[in-house]
Amino acid sequence: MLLDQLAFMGQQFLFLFTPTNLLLQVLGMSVGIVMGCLPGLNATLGLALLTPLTFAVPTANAIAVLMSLYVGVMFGGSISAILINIPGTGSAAATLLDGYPLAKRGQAANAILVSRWGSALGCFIGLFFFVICAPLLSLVAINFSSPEYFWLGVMGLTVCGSFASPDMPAKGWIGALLGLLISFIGIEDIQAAQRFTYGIPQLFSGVELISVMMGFFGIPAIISALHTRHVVTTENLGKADLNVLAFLKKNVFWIFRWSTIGVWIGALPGVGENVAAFMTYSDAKKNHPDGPRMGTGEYIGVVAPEVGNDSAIGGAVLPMLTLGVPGSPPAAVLMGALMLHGLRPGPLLPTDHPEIIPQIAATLFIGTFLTLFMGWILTKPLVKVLKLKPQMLMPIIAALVVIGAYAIKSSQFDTGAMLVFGLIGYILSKLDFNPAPLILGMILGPIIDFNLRRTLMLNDGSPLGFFSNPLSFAIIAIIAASLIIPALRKRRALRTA
Amino acid sequence: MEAPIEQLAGAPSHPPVPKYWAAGHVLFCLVLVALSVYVIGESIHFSIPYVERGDASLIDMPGLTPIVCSILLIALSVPIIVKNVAAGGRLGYFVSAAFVDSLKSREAQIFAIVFGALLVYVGLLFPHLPYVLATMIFLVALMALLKLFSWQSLVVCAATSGTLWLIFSVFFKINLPH
Repeated sequence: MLLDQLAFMGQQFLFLFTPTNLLLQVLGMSVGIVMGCLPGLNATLGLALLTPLTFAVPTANAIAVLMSLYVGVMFGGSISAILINIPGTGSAAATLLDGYPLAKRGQAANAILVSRWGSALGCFIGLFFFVICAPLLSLVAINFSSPEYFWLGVMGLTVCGSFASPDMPAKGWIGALLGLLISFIGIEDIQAAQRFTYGIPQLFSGVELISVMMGFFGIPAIISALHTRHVVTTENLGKADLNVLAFLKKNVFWIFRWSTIGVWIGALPGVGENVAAFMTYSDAKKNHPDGPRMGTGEYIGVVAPEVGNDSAIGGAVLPMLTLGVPGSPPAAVLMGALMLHGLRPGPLLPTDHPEIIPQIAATLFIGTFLTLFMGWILTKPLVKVLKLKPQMLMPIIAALVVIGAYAIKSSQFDTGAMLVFGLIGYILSKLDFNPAPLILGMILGPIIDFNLRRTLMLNDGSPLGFFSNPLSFAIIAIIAASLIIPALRKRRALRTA
Repeated sequence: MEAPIEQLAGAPSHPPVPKYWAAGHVLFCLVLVALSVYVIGESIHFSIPYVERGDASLIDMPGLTPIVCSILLIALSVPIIVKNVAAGGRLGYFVSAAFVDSLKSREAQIFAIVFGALLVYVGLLFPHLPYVLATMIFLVALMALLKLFSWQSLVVCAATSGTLWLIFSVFFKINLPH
């Protein structure tokens, strides 16, 4: 199966090398790098904004442009982190800890060079894990029945909640439950009952995920970008004179280690690239020989989070495609985009549409090289882009958010819904609620609801049906760990404090 | 939005909880409890006909999962309310002078400008005016409210409105308001 996958990936690679696709990938990568570079705009919003534009194009082209944007944003975020001490994306927040001190020492060009190579290698190793693990996970997932799907949904939400709010997991779980409640709006699948629709026809099919995400991520991002003042202090990038290949060769073990961490964190439901970057930075600080000097301007402090956040992409799309559980908020938007193209990510995807996984793998492969190439071309012009006034840029983003929410169904109701969720998203961001669990809750809600009730119906109301398969026990063990570990960690921390 | 590295590494963080923070959490969680109670009531209400008709039983009724989620939401919200009340969070904060002062902050003003402009755009301009005109007015007004008004900004607004119309309406055949 793995060899079939590789052969198929080869075919898709050739397909993606057509001028149209290559052009779309270059476009997606460029937009991604620019978007990532601009503080406030992130991969989730970028993908949500671009999704309506991909309706009219074939699925393969849509995948090409969206995946490239996803990869591009991860690298782009590091540029503003290094140059202006403000991370373009949350995933670059760890990069600035060493990137900005390097820029202040006149080594911005070297820092960006290291970040570019770190991003490209992270993406490539993430792809490697993706290609190896996707067929294996598909083989496991094909054996899932209703109880396993139910537990998988619950696992997604508990794990995501724990990681999204490590200081107070209850806040993550509250977000997940809110997402579930939103997902219950509409006509449900078993008795076709209308739930919370109040007779409004636009609510019969539920709340549109992409519109919610536009508001949820877009409006807080616009306000935050307008509120944050930034000054480009490092106009002179300096000279890129670091022997980057020698540097990478010296750290090859560490790069592989951080990529593994990145893929693992990326694959955890809803956790994503931001946490992966911090985890790898934390690992470098604790274990790398240069760790004690990190924070004062060490290249290793730039490469570790960049490897982590880019390798997390391969990890994040893995459970999204094979289990229907996105590993990160951008992967959730990507899932929504695939659904708009008539695909149903999950265990049946490799059978129903065997071309999708190889297409995504091939896009990541090309994305690795485009990160290096487009990153090199765009770095200098981006210093000028960073000087653009947010007062000019953000109203344009606001107009894009509105038309993006409208364009999904040509519905003015959806633009109103976007605004309501924008307000909710802003309030939640002020209270430090991570939006990832809520989005994951919206995606997993129908799966949890349907399979909970179906399992109970098939077992005449007996809850024993949820414990009839060893796979269920494996998932329950992960759920228990995700609930117990944060509590134990907090207790240990209190004891040592 | 991003958790600090010390938190991700599992280390404790015990800064004193500001009053506004605690009050915000108390209010938000009270709203969640009220919402949950409403959802439970509504779920029972729309499930009863299905159970009475014999189309569903108590274990597979359409309201089962919303009820379970609401109960969990209450169970998670109540400890947060208790914790934040203990930390000095009071609803009275929202009628205090400190809260009124916070509404005059730069961020609050930006929020009011952006949200107000979007509300007018989505509620009034978008449904009643042709797309290009509505978007042009929205962009010019929002930029002006953000203290950016020049001939360049007017050109940018016109170009943006036209380009969006061209991409969505002409290329992608999306039915924009006429």
